[in-house]
Amino acid sequence: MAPHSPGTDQIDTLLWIGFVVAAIAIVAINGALIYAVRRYRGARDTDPRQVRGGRRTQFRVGALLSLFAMAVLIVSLVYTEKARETPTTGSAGLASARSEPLRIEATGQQWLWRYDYPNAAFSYYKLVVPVDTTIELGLVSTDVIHTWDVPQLAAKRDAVPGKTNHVVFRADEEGAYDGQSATFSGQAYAAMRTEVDVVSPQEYKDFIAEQKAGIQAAQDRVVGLIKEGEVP
Amino acid sequence: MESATVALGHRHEEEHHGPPEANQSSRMDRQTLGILLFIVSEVMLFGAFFASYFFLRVVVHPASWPPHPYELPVAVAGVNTAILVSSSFTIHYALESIRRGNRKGLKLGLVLTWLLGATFLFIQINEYVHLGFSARDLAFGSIFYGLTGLHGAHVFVGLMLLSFATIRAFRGHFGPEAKDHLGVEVPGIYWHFVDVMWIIVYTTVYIL
Amino acid sequence: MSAARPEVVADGFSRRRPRWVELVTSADHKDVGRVMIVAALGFLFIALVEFVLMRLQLAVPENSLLSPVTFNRMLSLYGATAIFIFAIPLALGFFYYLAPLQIGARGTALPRLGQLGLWLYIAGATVLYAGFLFTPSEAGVNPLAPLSELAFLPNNGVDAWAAATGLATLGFVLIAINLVATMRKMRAPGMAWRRLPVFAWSAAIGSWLLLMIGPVMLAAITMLLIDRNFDGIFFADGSGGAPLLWEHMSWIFFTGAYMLILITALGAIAEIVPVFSGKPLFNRGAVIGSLLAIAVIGTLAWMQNMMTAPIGIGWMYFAMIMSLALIVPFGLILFNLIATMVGGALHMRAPLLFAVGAISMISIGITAEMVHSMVAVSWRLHNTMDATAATHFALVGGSIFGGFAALHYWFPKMTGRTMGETLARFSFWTMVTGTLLTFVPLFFAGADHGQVVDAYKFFDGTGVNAENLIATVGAFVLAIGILLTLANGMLSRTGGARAGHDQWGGDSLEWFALSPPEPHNFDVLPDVRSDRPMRDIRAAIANRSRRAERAARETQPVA
Repeated sequence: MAPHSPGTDQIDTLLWIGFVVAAIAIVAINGALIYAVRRYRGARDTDPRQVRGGRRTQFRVGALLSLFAMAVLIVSLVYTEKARETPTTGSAGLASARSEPLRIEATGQQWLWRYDYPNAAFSYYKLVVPVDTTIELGLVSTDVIHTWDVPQLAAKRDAVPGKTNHVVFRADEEGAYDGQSATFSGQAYAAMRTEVDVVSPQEYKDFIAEQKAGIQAAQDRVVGLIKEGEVP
Repeated sequence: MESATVALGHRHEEEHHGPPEANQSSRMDRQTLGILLFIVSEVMLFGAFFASYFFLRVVVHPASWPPHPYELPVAVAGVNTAILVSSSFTIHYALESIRRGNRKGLKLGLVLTWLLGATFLFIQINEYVHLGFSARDLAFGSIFYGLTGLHGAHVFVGLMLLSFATIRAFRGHFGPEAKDHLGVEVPGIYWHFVDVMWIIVYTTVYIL
Repeated sequence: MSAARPEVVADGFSRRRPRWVELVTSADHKDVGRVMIVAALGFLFIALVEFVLMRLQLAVPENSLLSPVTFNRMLSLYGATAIFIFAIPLALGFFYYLAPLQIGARGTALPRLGQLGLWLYIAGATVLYAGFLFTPSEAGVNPLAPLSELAFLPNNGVDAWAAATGLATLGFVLIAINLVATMRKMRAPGMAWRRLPVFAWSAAIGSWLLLMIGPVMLAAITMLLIDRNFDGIFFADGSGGAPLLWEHMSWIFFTGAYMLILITALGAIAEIVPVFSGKPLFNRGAVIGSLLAIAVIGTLAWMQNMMTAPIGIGWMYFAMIMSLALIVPFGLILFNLIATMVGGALHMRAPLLFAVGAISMISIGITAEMVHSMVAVSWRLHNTMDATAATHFALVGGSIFGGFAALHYWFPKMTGRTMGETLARFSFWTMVTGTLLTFVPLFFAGADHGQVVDAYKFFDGTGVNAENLIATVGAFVLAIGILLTLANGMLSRTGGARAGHDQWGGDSLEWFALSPPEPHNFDVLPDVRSDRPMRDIRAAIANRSRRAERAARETQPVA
């Protein structure tokens, strides 16, 4: 899965570093283990030397392991800090989001995501955002804990009722990105998916206008029905 | 058990039937050790409740604590605290009495402790009745009743243990030797723990 | 002095009662331990059935073999069974059977307390599966609030879960109290702490760990029950409650339990490897210290499970530092285990085979966990199949491979018979194949395609079809492998080759007792002079018979 945001770029790099380090560690440990087993499987009657090991070996091995742990820690801190940086809206992005990120609220509810855009437009399931624009997604939940997870675009984050969590990303390419909810949330959890449509700023504006018009039309219709007395 | 007899054959020279005495690698009685370890786990249980109390109060951070309009009767609970703490001294008196062979002192101490404990519990329940809020009212209500209720349950268990000790004392059990009054000492340790825990509960919930 | 003597439970035995009545009414640590181990292995079978059923559902995309509700019930039951009803009791069962023998005690300090603990655990298991007959929990492996609140799961499933795990946890705490008291009070003469076998150290550390984390879980369960049954507001949002409070408390317990399982397995392996290498454990002190460090540091890393939760970045870094600090103790233990084999004369019997398998699986699992503990990686891999695979490598390695190593090693002591070697080998290789087939593809499904955990289905076109199919096949292979060992155990209990009292030439005192041990464990209490008392005893016997031979030769000249 190719990353499409500065933050996920860093996460991807760190994941690869971790993967390589882990692969080397696993091969080293199991290689030594298999070597020891194959080399020293022998007759019971040979009497091995009763070596107990000394403090010096332990300190050396311990120091090496500590160095390794420190190295992993530092690399991980560096990349995590980079992944946390808030990117700025690029030249191809939404002009109005130059100084401040575009703030959208994502509400998790069993088993659907609702997105509230500025200017009172909203959409369900599908989030539409302009390309090359910094988006700050505020995550809230109205019922249980959900996790907003679109791996190509952003770090996953929990939407916990009563608390607001934040996700920041800037999509670098137009297209549709699949996402899902990643915390068990009950019966239809597996079906609680989402999609992020990254479009050009103009298309984004059109989408917002369309949504608003649709919402307005629906409201007008309901108001009309009430006036006609068809809805009590 | 061939190997055993060969390796440690000298055991057979003793005129002793049945297995020899088991080794004691600690001077503490197993009952005392058991109750102390049980108290360690109890400390963790109370610790989890205290941690939750502070989590709900500090991390969730509601506008006021205790939330308006609820109030806690600090003075009455303070008197109650004094009652429970004094019962620690009476149980100590009972234990010291039996150590010196004073059976009257033992009985007096145990009965006094029991009465003080029961009074504490009575006042506590009375307080619950008049508080004006329940465990359903805000997280404050839940954790208040959670903490004081958990402690109340411990007082109740302590009273049960003390009842056994009191009945045994009146039936002529217990003696000055250390092993003969474990039945007073072990509930006593538990009772001291319950008292100390109340001081912490009182300080945290009512005063802080 | 008679009051201070340990309770010799054998006094209460009446030979007229059938064996099973004796077994279930006994407070003897060997009977209690045996019932616990057998019950845990029985529930391993049930957990396995649940696991295979869930894997079957996930064999192909959008499968409809199990309905979502059925799947979620399986999932919740599997989680509770695997942790509370199988893994922890298996660890405690071995501790409870062996630690008193290893320290040369006649019994335990508080036998009735341990017996109560066993039956609380059995009661917990019964409640869990009695709930299964009606409505089991649908709240997942860790029933996170507020999903586990009454508002979202109004049936009694979560209450059954809470009652079951609560009873079992209380039982574990009582057993832990008894184990700690026994280790402190009843060691044989000369059995100083520094001479305690590594597995007995595991028992001591694991018991202290349970003493610390068990009550935290009990507190959380109490609050959950108050919330559900008395309209409490501990975890419910609004009115000042906090869903994160449940996360903190439950993850402290689950993380501690994870560490407990690894401590048990590594302790058993550290007994087996030296005995089958004919060498002492390389740097005993460092291994014991590392086990202690794992218990403390590992449990402090509980927030590793909350890297995506709305908590401060500082807390995430704290969890990461604790997790990465674990590299040192785990690394030291693995190094010392391999160093013990180097230069030895390896006796490749089933216990060593399973021990080596366990080391290998645990090494894969904890290395993957190391990657997960890097904060930014966790933002990608948290709650994906990659996490499932990592956890299962460590816990299958620890609890099943490690548990089976312990089972093969101590089976002769417990039953007086050895487990069949051919079947053991066959089972081992099936299990290795099964584990790799099941969990390696899941690493990729999680890391490459972000497949999430706990979901009752996955969708076509998400690129994880092949991985899931292979994993399902692997689950069957793994299950067959495990069943072979369980069958081996059942067959060998009566039909295995008779074992000697010191079957493997062990170092620790349990091999000084008969196989199976008498109710009072030892006729005479040995005097411990080193950390390998049985070796000393064998040397003394050899010395004595040599001297006797020489004396015989001197008095009766060869004709």
